Amino acid sequence: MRINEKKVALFIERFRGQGGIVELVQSWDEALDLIERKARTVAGPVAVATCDRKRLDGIRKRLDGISRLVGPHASPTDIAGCSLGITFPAAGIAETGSILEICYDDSDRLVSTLPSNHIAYLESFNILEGLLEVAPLVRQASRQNNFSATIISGPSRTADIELRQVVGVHGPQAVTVLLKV
Amino acid sequence: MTSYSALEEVVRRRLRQGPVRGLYSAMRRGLEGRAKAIAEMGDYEAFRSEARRIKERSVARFSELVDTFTRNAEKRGAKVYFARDGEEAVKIIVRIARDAQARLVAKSKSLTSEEILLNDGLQAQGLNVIETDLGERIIQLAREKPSHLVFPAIHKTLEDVNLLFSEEARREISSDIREIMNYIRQRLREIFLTADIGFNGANVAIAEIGAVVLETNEGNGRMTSSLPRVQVVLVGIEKIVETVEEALILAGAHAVAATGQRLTTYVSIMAGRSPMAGDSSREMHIVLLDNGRSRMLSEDIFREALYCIRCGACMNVCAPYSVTGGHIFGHIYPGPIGIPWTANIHGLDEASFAHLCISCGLCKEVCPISINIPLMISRVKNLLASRYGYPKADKSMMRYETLGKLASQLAPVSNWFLKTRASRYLLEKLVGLDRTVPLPEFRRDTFVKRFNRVRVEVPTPRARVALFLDFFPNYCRPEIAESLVTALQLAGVKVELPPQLTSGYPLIAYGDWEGAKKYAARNVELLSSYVEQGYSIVSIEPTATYTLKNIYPYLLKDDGRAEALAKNTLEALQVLWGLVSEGLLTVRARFKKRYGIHVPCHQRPLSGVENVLALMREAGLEAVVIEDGMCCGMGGTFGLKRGPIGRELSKAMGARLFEFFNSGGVETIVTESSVCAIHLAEGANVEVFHPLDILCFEKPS
Ligand code: SF4
Ligand code: SF4
Repeated sequence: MRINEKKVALFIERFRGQGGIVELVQSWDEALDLIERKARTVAGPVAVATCDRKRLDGIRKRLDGISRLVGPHASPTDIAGCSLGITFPAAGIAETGSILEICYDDSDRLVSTLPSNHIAYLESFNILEGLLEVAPLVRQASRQNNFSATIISGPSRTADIELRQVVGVHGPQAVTVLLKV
Repeated sequence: MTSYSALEEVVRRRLRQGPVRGLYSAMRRGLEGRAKAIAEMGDYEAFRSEARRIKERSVARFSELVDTFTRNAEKRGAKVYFARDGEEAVKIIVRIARDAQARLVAKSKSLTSEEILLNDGLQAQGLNVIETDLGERIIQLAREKPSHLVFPAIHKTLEDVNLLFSEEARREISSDIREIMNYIRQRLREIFLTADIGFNGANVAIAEIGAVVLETNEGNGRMTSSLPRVQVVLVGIEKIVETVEEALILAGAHAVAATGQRLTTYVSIMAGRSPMAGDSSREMHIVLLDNGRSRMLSEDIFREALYCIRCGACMNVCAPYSVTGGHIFGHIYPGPIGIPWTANIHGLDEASFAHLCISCGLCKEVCPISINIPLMISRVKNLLASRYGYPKADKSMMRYETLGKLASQLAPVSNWFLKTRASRYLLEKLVGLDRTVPLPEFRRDTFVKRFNRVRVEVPTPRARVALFLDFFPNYCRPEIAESLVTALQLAGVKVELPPQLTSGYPLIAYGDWEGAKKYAARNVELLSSYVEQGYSIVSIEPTATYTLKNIYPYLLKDDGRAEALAKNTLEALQVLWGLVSEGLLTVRARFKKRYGIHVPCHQRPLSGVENVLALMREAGLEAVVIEDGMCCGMGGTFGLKRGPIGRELSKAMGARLFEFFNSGGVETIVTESSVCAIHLAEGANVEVFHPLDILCFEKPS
């Protein structure tokens, strides 16, 4: 698949450079194929963050008989019991190789926090070039009374013991962006 | 309080044990990551200036920003408290915990909470406080203090950690790192899910939207800030900026300088308390902490400490810290920036580790906010001296000019005297000069005396230069100054030698501000008329050049002539390379060797290695730059002093670099600094030359 936009290519390079995984898809259906495959591999309940009806129905249908779907807005204990979390970031950031998640309910945040595997579905036109372009989106979110905006750059990691890099100490061990190009 | 002699004792003990295990690798890793990220960034200096401007602006307006932040956060339902000091902050948090009937607190890493001894305060009330950052958890179990800002448990080995967690689990955990991680993941999951209070600090707070920003790599901060019903955030008031953009720039600056990441893995911006699965009975409490910060704001010299974004980069270049570690080179705040913070927040007496600073200046160079840490440290030493007097050896080192003059007047007798064991023993006892340190030969025929012999009339000069000599080129190495003057005159440059003092840098290094100001004022007085007549001031010793360019304007803020002098001061090799590039001089090598270049610390913020390398290449010489990212350990006169806060520490700091020179197959070391030369020649046991010893300048034919 040809990536013709510089910023999309940069996003892919940098997100991967930080230990994240990027899979290119051409349609939501193709993304569902990958979600289904991942759900089969991880073999456990799947948490999903708030998203539009069409996406939720699609996931529900695909995972029917494969994995139990948890959420949106499930309890922390239920989300903690999931092996995979699916979220829909508001944007990607090419400069830093990151995704931006804006949440208005903390259970949505937990979907990308608690399960060992995190899949984020992102459409390439939502990729921003620079970090500062995040500011207007944050300001827009701030019109709501409460919100959190999290910029995620790869899997959770630590080097606290003898500087040995280990991923997934608290958060996900694998973060995959399904990037629709 | 650690007195000077007690500090000597802990350093001596540390030196006997050898450097802190793993610390240097951590520092190196931070530095290399930073260098790589900067290389990819394009205009890092512009980015750095922008980050500094943000901090300057925000700190200058902090009471206004506190109000705006409070208003906007409260609009969102957060409860905001203002604590004048640590005790008040602890009381507020204890009250919040009591109201919430809390028992278990899950805590994310926060140096500000350590500043106020929050854990002790909460535990005294029967609360169970669990640190959830891996490094912090390790030191909590070990009942120690963090030894590095970014890697708090870097001094612990895998076996130490394994033992701690096995004890906690009351079963044997395999020493496989993955197994340990699995244990931690499971153990802390229970904590996150059952904690009554989630506590976190904030890297930044944003006034315009009343939000706090939390940066973590492990993701524990995301859990402490989302899972428990009650969230408590402790924010130092210096952390508040006005806009979202400013916060994002600082998040970038922090990550790049700390580890070389473009951003830490999770940057969470949180405004108000979001519901959990629709439950909106959750609470957010934000405690804004002053604890001496507004006092620091009103003190010109210490204000800059408030610009710190806690990236830890300054620790990664600090040679004495690399040997002694954060438990000695630190109180609660470790490392270079820990000195002014400790002096202001925890009291001057706790900041006596300032005596370990060798005034290399590198911490300022690496700081993403260009904070003038070395001058703040000098001021802390100054305050310590007004309370306790100067340590004996420091006092003697500050009289270097008088001693040098005397030794040179009495040469060669003085040189003989300085070689006898009895006199060295006496000098060690009386003035604190180490009896084993090699000393330079003093010359009766100083450069000042020689100048008229070297000087020639240049009828139509293409440029005019006034020479700034400093100590060594005058009293010990006059031939260096002579080579320089001869070369300049060959290229048609008129050279004058104005009356002058030495730079006075040792006084800054040991904290005698009044004395240093006198040196600065006198030299500015003596050199300014030359500057006004269009002369360039050319300086040979890197430390002297650095002092003229970077220190005098600071010491003499109200004297515009100091700034003019700084602007018109040039480095000797910079001028020579300029003349060679213009075709006015040619350069050849006196002898070819396998050269290794040592760049003195004060040379780095000047032109670095650029000119010496260019000249050596032009002369057909090959050379490699050899460094360990820090000072060679001599620290000007620091390495001449007796004892663990002197020569012993100095040798330990240099050990790594000596090894690099030896293993690099270097036959001859080249350095522009005369004091580094003494240290390297002894430590690496290799001959050391000044570039002007090995290069020969001629008029093009
Ligand atoms: S000036 Fe040098 S020795 Fe002193 S604190 Fe800074 S880096 Fe360390
Ligand atoms: S003083 Fe500068 S380098 Fe040191 S921790 Fe603070 S911001 Fe980082």
